[in-house]
Amino acid sequence: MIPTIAEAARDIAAKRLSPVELTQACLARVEAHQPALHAFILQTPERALDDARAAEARQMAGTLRGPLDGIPIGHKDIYETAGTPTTGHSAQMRDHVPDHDAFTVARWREAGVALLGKLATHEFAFGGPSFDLPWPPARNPWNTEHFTAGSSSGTGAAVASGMVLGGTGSDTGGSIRGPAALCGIAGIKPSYGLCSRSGVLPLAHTLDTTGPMAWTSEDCALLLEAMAGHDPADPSSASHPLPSFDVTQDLRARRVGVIWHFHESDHRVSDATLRGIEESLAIFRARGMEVVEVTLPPLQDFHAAGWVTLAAEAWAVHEQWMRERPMKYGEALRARLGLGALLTAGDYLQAQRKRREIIARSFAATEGVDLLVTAAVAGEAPKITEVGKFASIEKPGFTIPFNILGWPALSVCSGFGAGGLPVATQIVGKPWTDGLVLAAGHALERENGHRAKRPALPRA
Amino acid sequence: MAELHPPLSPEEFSLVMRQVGLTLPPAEVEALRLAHPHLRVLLDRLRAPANPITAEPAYTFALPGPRA
Repeated sequence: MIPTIAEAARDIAAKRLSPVELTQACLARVEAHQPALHAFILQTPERALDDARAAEARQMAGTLRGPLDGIPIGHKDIYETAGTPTTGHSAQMRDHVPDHDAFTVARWREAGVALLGKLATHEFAFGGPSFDLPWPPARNPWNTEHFTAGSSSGTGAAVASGMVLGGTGSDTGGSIRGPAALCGIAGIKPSYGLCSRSGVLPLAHTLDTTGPMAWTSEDCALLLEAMAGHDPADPSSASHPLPSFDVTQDLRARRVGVIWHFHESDHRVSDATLRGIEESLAIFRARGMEVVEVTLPPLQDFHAAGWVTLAAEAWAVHEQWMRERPMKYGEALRARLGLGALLTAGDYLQAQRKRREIIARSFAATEGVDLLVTAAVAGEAPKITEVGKFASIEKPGFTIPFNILGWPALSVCSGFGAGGLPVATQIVGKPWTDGLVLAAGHALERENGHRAKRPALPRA
Repeated sequence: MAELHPPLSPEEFSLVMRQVGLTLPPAEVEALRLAHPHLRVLLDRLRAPANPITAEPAYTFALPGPRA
């Protein structure tokens, strides 16, 4: 039985659960399943046990720091960890050992987490899945022949398999919500500016967002509350008071706008995905929420503005290394950065014009609406060998619109498809209503029953 | 779904790559050439409908106010 963070926190607080034993159980799962899942690129078991022993001492002394004290976690390997290598899953930074923790890493460390290691990512959060990097790509615990999505692939696999109870992801165009969806867990891209990016390897500065991934929305709320907050070192970091992260807040009379055209006509999703969305809406209606239709600009407009913005900004980040030592990148990332290199200043500025226009139209179209619902991904995970290196440009995704807007967006498991793999629903809120979004996810998970099912894990 | 432009010819695309200043293996340049039409679809979409010359720019530079 793998506890959620909320369950483990309650048991630790009541001295019914030992943080050391909890961490040892996770380490045992890492030992059993890492050879098949490749979720970690670096394991830190001694550090994890030291962290757990310190938490246990606080438990015994009655000085626990909060709900994350003694909770086993992992960090996506673009989060800098002092004294522990941070590589971006790339040969380019294979020997990089930071001397500082990222702001968010420090926040979780201060909250008392036990760090089990650094988790696989698509190279620099953009290229992948790749088979020509120093470490293999993570595999989907529901079926290891299938894709985890990316780029927070290791976090998705590690959380779904219970190797960790939670972990960090980053989301520039869907890199938290994609892996959360395909691995059957919860993952939130917070409001832009809610969580610091300082100390996290950048991809595209106007879209990059840090955030948590866990088995449930409630766990995401606990993790998010601990990592949110103003950081003067990140120019995008918001300085206003934090929103409530209470997932038990009253949802009655909240208005939910369904963006039917996104998932029914702009990019038609699978039957199982559609069924999961319909079931989610039925749960919302039963809780006294009003469901209405909302029309945003076409998904293709978001895709164009989002993809061009992302690729141009990523090219600016990686331009020097792409010119000086391109062959130290994997082929998939070289290809995507290569497309970014073809963009002109005019292309980038037209993308910003379009972005400004669709932000204004989206605010106008959602006036009086508290939450939005659409798909997170189109269907179940494809086979990992069938994911093309240009797949992300060929079809519009459901996640990048909310990077363009900067609004909080959560992926929650809403069922299983014909292949037995998870499907997901995306719940979106207005800026700074991250807690409301998580409360809506929590309501779904409590009633849809899908949190009771874990993957039948492969063994090496 | 918008119709794809035909890919640039290898000669045209090699000019583009020279202008960009990137040196990649020939097979990867060819893959980029074939993917390039997908990028052009997005760029066309960004420019439709065409903005009048007086349209609101993407960003507006504004100075902070004078000190009190």
